[in-house]
Amino acid sequence: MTREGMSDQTLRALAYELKHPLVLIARQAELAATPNDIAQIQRTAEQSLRLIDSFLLSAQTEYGQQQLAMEPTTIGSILYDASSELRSELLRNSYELTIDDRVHDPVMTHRPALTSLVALFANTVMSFSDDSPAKKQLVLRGFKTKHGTLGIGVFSEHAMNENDIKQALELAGEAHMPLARLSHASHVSLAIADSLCSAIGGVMSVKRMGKLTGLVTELPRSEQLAFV
Amino acid sequence: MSRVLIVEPDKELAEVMKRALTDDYEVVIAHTAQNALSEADELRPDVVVLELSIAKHNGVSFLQEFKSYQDWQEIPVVVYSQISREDTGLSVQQWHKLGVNAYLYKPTARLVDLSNTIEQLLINYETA
Repeated sequence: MTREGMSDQTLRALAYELKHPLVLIARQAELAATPNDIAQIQRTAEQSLRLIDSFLLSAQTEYGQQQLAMEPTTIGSILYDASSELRSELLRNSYELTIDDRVHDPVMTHRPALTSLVALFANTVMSFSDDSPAKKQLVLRGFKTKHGTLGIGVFSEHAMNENDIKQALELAGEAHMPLARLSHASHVSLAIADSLCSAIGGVMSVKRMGKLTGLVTELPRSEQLAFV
Repeated sequence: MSRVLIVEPDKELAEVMKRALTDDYEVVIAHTAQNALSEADELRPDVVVLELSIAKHNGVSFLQEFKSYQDWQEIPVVVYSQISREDTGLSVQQWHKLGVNAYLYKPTARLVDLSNTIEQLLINYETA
């Protein structure tokens, strides 16, 4: 796929996906009567804004309007930032969150982009849920790879594989009939996550760790902070 | 009181739809196709409201399976979807053949439109 093609597809995916929270806001507003209703509308609007922010970051980089300013940071701080962004969605979807930061080496990255990326990974991983009412596990994890680099990812017990991801990326932004086994939300989250990964110099992939499967990306190590 | 089965993967939207209909109907929600089939078996709905984007399933194959049961063939189905009918590539006639009695596009059809459509379908169904 060409670079321009991917941008068009991501744009279509975003437009398509944004219909969903906007429909929800419009329908919630039809019945809004209590402070709780207003809070729900606010939460939905904030989710949409986060999606737009993630898209803007990747689009600006892709079109060369902005060079992402990389800075040394720790994976742990990114994981904690992402977890606070995800708090209400985790609660709503009955997820128990674990932060597993087993690496303390610094990485060179764009902090807002990586935080958005982890949140998008989490949204996608949650969409693979089997919809059972039981409490589910979501693990935000930093790890060392076999070849010495550092990685960051979001894991759960839900089964997913590279084919699911490939299929979702191909279908992102399409009003596809018949539908794939994935929701539209996961298609667009993946398309934007893929774009953000490229922007920060990583590659998105599926990784298995014990009983958990997750979406991950590798990150360049920060030699500067390691030296300090 | 007539019974409505809402097949909607989004939990929040499903609750909003239920709230809009609950004064006039007994409403049950299903978030997945499989769940919808078992709820239909239990509830015996008078109307089904269906979002086509059912995660891990195909809205059309759900319809075909639903309508394959003789007892459910006459149950009116309202598609209330984020996918416009034009985007599905199927004509009104083709949807009708699949057993769909009304197709509402979520971004433009309000909850009151959904409620009015259900009411109209039930009137038609009772007088047929």
